[in-house]
Amino acid sequence: MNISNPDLTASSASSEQTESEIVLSAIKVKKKIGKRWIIKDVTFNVRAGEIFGFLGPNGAGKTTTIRMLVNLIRPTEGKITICGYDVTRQPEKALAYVGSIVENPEMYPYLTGWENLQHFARMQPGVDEQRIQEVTEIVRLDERIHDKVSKYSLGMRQRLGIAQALLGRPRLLILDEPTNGLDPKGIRDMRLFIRELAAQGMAVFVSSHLLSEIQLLCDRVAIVGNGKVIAVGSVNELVEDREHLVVWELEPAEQGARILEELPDITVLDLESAHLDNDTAASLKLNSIITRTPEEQISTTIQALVSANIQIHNVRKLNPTLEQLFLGITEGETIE
Amino acid sequence: MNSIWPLVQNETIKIIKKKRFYVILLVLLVLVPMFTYAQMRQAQENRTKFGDDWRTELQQAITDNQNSLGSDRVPEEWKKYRRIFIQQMQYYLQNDVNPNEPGGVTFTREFLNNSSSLFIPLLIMTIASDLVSGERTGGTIKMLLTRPVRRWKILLSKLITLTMFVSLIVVSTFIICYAISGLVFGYSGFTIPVFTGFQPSEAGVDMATVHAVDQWQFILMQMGLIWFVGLTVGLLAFMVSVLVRSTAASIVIMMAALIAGTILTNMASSWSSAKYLFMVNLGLTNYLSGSPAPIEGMTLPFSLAVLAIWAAASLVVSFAVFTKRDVMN
Repeated sequence: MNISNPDLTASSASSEQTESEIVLSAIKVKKKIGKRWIIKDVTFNVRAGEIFGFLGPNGAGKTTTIRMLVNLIRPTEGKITICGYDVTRQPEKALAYVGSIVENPEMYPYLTGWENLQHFARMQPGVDEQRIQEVTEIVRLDERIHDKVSKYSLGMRQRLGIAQALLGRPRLLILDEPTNGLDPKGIRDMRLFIRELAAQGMAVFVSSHLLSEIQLLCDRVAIVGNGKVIAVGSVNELVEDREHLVVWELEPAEQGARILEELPDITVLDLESAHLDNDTAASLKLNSIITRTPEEQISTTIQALVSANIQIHNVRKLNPTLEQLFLGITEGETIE
Repeated sequence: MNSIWPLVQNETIKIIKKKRFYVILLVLLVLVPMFTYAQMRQAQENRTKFGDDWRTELQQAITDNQNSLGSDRVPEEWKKYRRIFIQQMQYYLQNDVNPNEPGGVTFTREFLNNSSSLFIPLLIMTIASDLVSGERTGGTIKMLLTRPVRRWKILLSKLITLTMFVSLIVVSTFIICYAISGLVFGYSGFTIPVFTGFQPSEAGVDMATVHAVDQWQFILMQMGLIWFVGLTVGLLAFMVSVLVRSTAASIVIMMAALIAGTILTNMASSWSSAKYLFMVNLGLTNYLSGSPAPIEGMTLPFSLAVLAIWAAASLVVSFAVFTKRDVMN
């Protein structure tokens, strides 16, 4: 597992390096509330132009961490810097580079969308009416922008929230569960939109408990559980570390399973220990056999089965999902 | 972000668009005509009893009170109030000044006199109790505090806006009162003399320092004192709104405190350390008109000092908590 090593000296001055500059860096961040350590160790870097996923089950500390990133909560220990500025010590400098939506995009319902944007424009330098017009067009809200926010649908509020986040031309966009409450089309639009922003060089930090979403969207991912970052790496890197699973549909099934068990390098797994995601588990038939099989052994195994007169109805390799990965990593850890 | 004025502009827009200030104006526009009508009925009744002769009316009031002094059933405390009232009325009579000269200005003076300890603080609470807790209830505090502005600046902008609206509420009360009651009682009376400077003493009232001022001066002094009371209550409500997450809870806490104040002023005269509580010190205008203080030893400078200390303390608490606290929800 490739746990990324935080570069303590990295700052906005490092743009000449081969890798693009670090926009957001969290180093050994911890938070104690009362007597309990809610966040035990969070360390990661986010670079310009990348979409960084922050993945974990509910209650793992995602939202608390996000709140620390934007200075809503003060870390007990550790350091968070944005474009080289310490968020706790110089919030007015650090936060100028950040646009964020923490949890729900809550705006003033008694103001119009436009008035809301004006309100937040007055809180940062260099945002004029023209910029407000620009961001409303970017999020395609220009038709309803002069309606009261209380009349907006959830999707429109989400877009207004993003418009607000984009106002100050941020270099880092922080989105907490951005597809919450959106319909499938809204989710796809949001994904394309985030990609577009990242392509323009913005760093995007996305939290989610939906593994498929992170897998589809993110370049790199940090996996959190129990207040700790368990793994950081590119999605592919983390996925390749895991063994491949193969599903067999054989007839007669019991005999087939016995042959598979006898072969070297193959392990037959039961449904529990396979850590399948729900979609995959639902696609299995009653007599499907799940095995851990090295990729190069699949064809020899098929030969062995054929020569034993077993009919093979279906063989497929399961694409490893982040869910399998996540469940594999956090195995044995319970949420306190 | 260097200037605070765009932030003050934001806060002002929010208060106006949230229709808080309209509610206050509406309350005034409904209640003032009611009081005006009640006052008018009273004036009519007195006219049928005494004709146009206010001296007879005043003499009758003095005699009534004097008679009750002899009764054993009247508590000693009430007698003290009545003795002071009698002395004051006699003073007006001797100087041939009608203390209740009918007119829009006199009505306004009376209204202001009665509204300083509960009515105007309540109006101010409508705005102050919601300033911070409203942002938390609505979740907008997260947007507000993740912008590149220091927290103390955001709080200061809210504070400046609050001060502006306290002033606006005091002035609006005067304008609405004068405009509506003037329709009935006439718009004159700014130069009528009003006596002030009654000093409570062992015997009742010390008349040595009493002097006459024009009624407009008197009202101006009243408004200054009411503004100070309003600002103090505003700052306290502001602090509660920083400490409490919900606007409803924040209003209830302040209401309870204010109402406790009116109850305490009626019964705490023997519990003398109650005079350090802010809520018994809100009737500053009573010092002008010469009503006795609710608790022994209370004077105008004393009350001003007590209120100032409470206001300063709530400011310190508000800023300390708001700038340090973790925003968890």
